[in-house]
Amino acid sequence: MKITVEHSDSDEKEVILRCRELDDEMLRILSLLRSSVQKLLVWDEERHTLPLNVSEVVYCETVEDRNFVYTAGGIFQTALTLAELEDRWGELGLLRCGKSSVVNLHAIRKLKSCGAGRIEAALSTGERLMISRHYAPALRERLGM
Amino acid sequence: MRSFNRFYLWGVRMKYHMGIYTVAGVFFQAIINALQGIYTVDSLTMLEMLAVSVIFASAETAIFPSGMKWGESRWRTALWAALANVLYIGSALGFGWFRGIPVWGGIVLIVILEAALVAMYYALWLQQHWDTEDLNRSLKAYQDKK
Repeated sequence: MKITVEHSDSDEKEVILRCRELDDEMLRILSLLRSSVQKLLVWDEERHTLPLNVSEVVYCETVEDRNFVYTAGGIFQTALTLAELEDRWGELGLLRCGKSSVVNLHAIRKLKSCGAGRIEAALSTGERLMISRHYAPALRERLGM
Repeated sequence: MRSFNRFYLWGVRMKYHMGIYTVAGVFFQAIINALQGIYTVDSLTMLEMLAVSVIFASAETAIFPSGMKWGESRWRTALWAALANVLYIGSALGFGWFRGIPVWGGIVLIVILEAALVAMYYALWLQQHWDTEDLNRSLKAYQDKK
C-alpha cells in the first residue's frame, strides 16, 4: 500500500482513502480512523457531560450496573457497556480484561505473569488490575504472542 | 458420565507427577542397593513407593487446585513441601527404604529431597519470570506501533 502525506494550508485535517474496493485492510484502516476521531461521551459527579479522547482512558469498570471510566484526571460515567467500548475502540487499545473491566493497553506500564494463567497489569495511574485466566489469552493474542 | 470424565482428567493430571515421584524413589533405592552390592529392587518396596507417590500426588492436586501453580500461594507451597517431607521421610523410616545406609547417607538423601523441592519451585518461578519478560516485550512492541 502506498502512503502519501500531503501538507496543505487548510485548517481542517483531511484523510482520503483511495482504493479500487474496500477490502479487509481498507475497512480496518477506516474503522481505525473513525474510532480515533470518535469521542467517548462521559459525565462527571456533577453530571457535566464532556467528550473524552479514548487515549485518555486508563480503564473502565462496571459497578452495580453503572459503567465507570477512569482517567489519570478523574472518574466519569458512560452510558456505553463494556462490550460496546471494546467493540468501538478495540483497535485503539481497549481490551476486555475481566467480567467487569476493560483496560486501555496503552495505559499499562507493566505486566506480570501470576501463574494459573492470570496476568497482573500495573497501570500508569499506579493501580493494579488482574486479568483473569479467561481473558488472558485474548490479551496475549492482541499483543501478538 | 460427567463425574467420571472429571475423575478421569484428574487421574491423567495426577499420574504424571505420581510417575515422576515413584521413578525418583526407585532410582535412589536402586543406587543405594547397588552401592551395597545388591542389583535388584524389592517389588514390595516399589509398590510402597508407588502407593506413597499416589497419596502425595493426590494431595498435591488438592493443595494446588486445577490451574493453580507452585509459588502462587506461600502457605500452599509450604504445606506442599512439608507434606513431601513428612510422607517421604516418614515412609522411608516406616517401611525401611534405603536400609543399610549410614547416617550421613540418610542426610544426603534428605538434602537431595529438599534440593528437588527447591528445584521444582525455582523452575516454576523461572517460567513465570520469562513469561513476564515476554509479556512486557510484546506490550512495548504493541505500544510503540501506535
